[in-house]
Amino acid sequence: MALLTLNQINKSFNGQNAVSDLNLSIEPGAFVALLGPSGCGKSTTLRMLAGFEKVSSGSIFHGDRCLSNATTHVAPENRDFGMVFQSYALWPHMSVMENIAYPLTIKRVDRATKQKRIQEALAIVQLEPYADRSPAELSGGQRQRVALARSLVTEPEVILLDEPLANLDRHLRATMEETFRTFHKRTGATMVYVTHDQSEAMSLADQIAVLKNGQLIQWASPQSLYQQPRTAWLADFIGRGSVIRMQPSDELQPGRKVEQSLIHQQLILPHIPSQGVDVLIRPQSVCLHPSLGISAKVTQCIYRGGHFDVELSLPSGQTLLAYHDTPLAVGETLFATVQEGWSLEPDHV
Amino acid sequence: MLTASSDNQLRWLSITLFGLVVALSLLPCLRLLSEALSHWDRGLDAPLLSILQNPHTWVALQNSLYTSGLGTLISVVLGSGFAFVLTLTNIRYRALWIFCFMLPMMIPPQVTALSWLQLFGPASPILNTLGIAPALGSPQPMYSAEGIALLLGIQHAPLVFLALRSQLICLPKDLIEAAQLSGASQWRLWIDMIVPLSRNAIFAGAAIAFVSALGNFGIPAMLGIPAGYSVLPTLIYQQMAGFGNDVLSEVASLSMLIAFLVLIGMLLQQWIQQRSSYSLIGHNAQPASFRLGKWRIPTQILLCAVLCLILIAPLAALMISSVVPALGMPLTADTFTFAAYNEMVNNQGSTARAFTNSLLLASLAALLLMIITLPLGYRLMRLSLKARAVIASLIEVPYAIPGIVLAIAFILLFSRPIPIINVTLYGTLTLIFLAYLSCFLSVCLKPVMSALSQLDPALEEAAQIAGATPIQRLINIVLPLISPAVFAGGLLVFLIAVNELTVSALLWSAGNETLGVLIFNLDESGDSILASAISVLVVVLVASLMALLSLLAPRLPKGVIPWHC
Amino acid sequence: MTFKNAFALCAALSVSPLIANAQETLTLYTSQPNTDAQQTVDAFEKANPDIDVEWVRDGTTKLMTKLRAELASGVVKPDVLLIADSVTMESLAADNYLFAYQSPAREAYADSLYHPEGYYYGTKIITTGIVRHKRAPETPKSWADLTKPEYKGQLVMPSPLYSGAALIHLATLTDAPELGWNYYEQLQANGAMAQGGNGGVLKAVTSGSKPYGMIVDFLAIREAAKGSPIEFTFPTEGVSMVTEPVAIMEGSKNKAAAQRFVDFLLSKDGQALVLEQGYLPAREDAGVPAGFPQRDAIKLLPFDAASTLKSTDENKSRFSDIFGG
Repeated sequence: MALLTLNQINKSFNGQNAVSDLNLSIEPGAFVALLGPSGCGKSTTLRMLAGFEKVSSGSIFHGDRCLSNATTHVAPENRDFGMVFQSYALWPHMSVMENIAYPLTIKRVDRATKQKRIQEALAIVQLEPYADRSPAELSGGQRQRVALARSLVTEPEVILLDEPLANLDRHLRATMEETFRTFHKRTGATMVYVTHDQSEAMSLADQIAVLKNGQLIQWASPQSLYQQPRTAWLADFIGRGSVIRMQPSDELQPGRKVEQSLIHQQLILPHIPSQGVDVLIRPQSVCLHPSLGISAKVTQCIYRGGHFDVELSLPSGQTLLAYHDTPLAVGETLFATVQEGWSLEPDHV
Repeated sequence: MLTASSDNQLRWLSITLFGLVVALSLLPCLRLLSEALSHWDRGLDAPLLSILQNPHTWVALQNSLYTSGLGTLISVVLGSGFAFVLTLTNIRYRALWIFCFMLPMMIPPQVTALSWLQLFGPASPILNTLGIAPALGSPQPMYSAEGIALLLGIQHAPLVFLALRSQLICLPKDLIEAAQLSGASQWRLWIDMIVPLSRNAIFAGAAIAFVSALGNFGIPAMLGIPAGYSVLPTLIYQQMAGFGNDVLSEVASLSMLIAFLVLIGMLLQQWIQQRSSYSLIGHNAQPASFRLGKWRIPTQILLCAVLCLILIAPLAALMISSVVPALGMPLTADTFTFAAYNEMVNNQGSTARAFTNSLLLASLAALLLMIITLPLGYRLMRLSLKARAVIASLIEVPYAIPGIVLAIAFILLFSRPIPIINVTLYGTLTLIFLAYLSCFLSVCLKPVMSALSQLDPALEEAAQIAGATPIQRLINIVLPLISPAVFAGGLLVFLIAVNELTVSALLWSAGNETLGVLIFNLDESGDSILASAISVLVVVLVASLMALLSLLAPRLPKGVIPWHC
Repeated sequence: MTFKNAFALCAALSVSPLIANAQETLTLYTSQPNTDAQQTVDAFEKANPDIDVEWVRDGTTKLMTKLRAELASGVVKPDVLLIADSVTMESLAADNYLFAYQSPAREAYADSLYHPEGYYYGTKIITTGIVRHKRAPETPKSWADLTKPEYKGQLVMPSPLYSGAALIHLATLTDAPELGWNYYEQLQANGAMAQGGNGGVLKAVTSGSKPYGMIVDFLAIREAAKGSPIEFTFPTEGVSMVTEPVAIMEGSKNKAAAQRFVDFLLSKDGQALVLEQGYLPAREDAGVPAGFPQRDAIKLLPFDAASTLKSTDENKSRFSDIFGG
């Protein structure tokens, strides 16, 4: 199993930059998510990894093998990767079995091995009884699983997934996420997973690359991304929370944990500072109390099934998000304490 | 290494295909162009310029555009009307309606014109029976621009029908249901959903109908020449009657004019299609179907009436005119005779020859073009849109320019033995075969390109990831999914080629006559009854072939036989 | 079928007609109607079993275009030509494409019917006259009648742009002092329609869409004999004539066989066939077909092939200007 590296990748279409200066190093066997809003370049990056797009500059290496750079380009059919497409791309004129068998047929694998692998693949995705059906007869989730089975049947080192759960309903998504997890454990393949859904990425991936407008914002584990996002935009994109602007000071540098005392100092200020450092406060860090803490007024209270999202208005006018077990009346004045925060870099992109 | 093989395959494919396109489409055009531009040293007297200065040219150009445009409009209305009703509704006897609608296309244009003329003339058997025959010598309404346009429209309506039908079949039911759920009324559904989604196919069909109308010779020859109404193809025919020294150059110039029109039409169509393309093939969905309810009977009556008009009446007139002993005699129990059939089948050696030649040429051309157009279309899809548009237009030209002119181009190209292998193709069936390939390449390519452009690209990418080389992808993935379109293209070529007249009219020589040539010759020399007899035989032949294919249809993949659902 | 196989099959097919016959093959280009051509060829082959004739039939203009294109590329396919009019033959002779053959059979023919040096020989006398539908109100007796108001918009005639015979007819009538170009202008003013060829005129008159027409004699007389409701008249001023000449190509490789073909057409048997087919034979002593008047009753208007050739283009364009063809 080899390292998959993207070095200084740039890709432009007709003068427009789709991906700029992307550097990623993917450990063998890792489950990596490429996360970002639409148009951020994640699909383009995946397609470059697959070989459907050439790189404008930079290089892609799989171990020692150069897959793509400005002068050479290995065609997708020669990369020995697997891929699951958003639309599943099951061939309608072939049965489920034939769909899964195709990569092995191309590689001229002998019949015995081929049968064995197909059966294994069907077992992993639990579709053995459907082997002779045509894709038109299957539900969305079943088709997804066939696509998955097809991608692993040649036992590739790398499997690429392009928003595979985008077309499924919520319940199905939860089940499929489980399938992906088991799948990853069983095959041990490197998986590169493109999604715009951050909760999906957080639950599945070991490492997440967040992209925006073609540039890499942060490359970190889900926990780091959640707790220590680099920029304000990212803080907003991942998870829920409030971004509070605080007056600059020596202790308030970007990329650091901010202590309670400093936060409380800043929160009671009556105005939003014109210049300052943005600090992320997750709702889990906010405690509400009838009398202790900083005074804030409830502006909204929404039931989320199990808890309430409470939006509080601070003296400076900024909004603070908190969780609460019981409903609170709008306009009620409460007191909030914040345990910690995380200071953010300004957005460049 | 594997890397090299994939690229190599693509490269060889490209070279072979483009070599073919050059030979079949570019060379004849260039030869014509060089002929058109010859004698440049004569300045204003040069053939090209004298043609452009001649007011006849501009009148004919205008007339061509008018009749072709009006004819295309009629084709679109007729063809799409039938396509919508027969594909998207739950009308009964669907296969029968489609079969009947496709038949007019199989009747040679000059035969169609002939039967309509007889239908409306003072000697019309049907009108005489009904007692509403016009008086002797009254003007024939068909001898007019509108008459020409009407027949052009009817002749080419099946082209629009086929183009639209193959797209409508792919229209997924859930798209329609989504609109219905949003509260869309039947009308809004059609206007907002169905028409836009089928727009591409309508335009594609309209384009091929327009180009066919521009190059059509038979109908304007029969209906326009007597009225002194000339269009570009008949103008060329007249120029040829001129046989001065410059005739070939002048004819080549006129055909360049037609080619130019075709190119514009093609580019326009490409531009329109680019602005909207939807990936519809590859979606595993059932086709949409509307319930007609109380409209079913009226619709069926309407279809029946239209078919009577465009098919049954002319066919009846044709048959009647083949069983009378002499022209202009009424058909009674006494005058009924099979003498014409007897003469053609037993006495004229040309009949058997013509049938054999036409069937052979048509089937071989269809087969070969099917084999060529799939990889060709596949390769073309990989080009940039501009390059694709240019090449597609180039391929279109030999079909658009009148057959007479294409024949001249081939004569000029092939009259000498081919160098190196020293084989003379001139005067052989092979030459007509090559001319057919050149002429009908675009007919076969169009449905293929249309289908390819709608193929979900992910299907091929998935095969690429699985390790398939371009040839493997072409055979395993693209071909099975596109095969209905490929067969539809081949079938179209066959049906058009069997009746083809104008190309073989000049390229044929002893023993190589085709059915179209035979019919035209007989008619022109005054043996119209014999011509009608052969025409009836041709119609019977093709109808039988279509019926045979219908019987086979359940065994073949869906969509191959265009009129079978 | 693969491309290679199909190509091979086609190549084989194209070559096979040539290998099939061990005997001599004569190639004939003719503008006769199909049935007549078939009969002529059949009769010749019966009389000369060692010669096989392959014939190509097309309208004069199309045939000539094909021929000219071939000649321009240096290819000579036909051995003999049997086409409608002598003016075309004159132009080919002038370009040295014809072979001079002095046939012994020419003794039986009037001098005007063949080229003195033997480039071409007339085989029939085909006149152009007036045809009317039996139910038509008027009975025209002369060319001049057709300009009368009763015939307005009711006349159809073959166009010299398409038909060799019509071109000769035009040249003959415009040369005749009592008719001239004025005649054609009057016809046009009277709404006469110029249809494609003689076959088209036949169709128009028999179907009744135009009750009167100018047409070649054999077409009308033959069809009337079969029962068509038409009748043919030889106008009083006289008629024009084409002779359907036969000629041998200079580039022919089978001149001996070609000469036998010419001799056959000019022989008593050949002319008897012509008679049977319903044409007026060129040979003086061959009699007349049913429906024709006696030879001396037919008044032929004077005609000069060579001068007509010179004015061909001019005539055509002038006609085109008048009738807008």
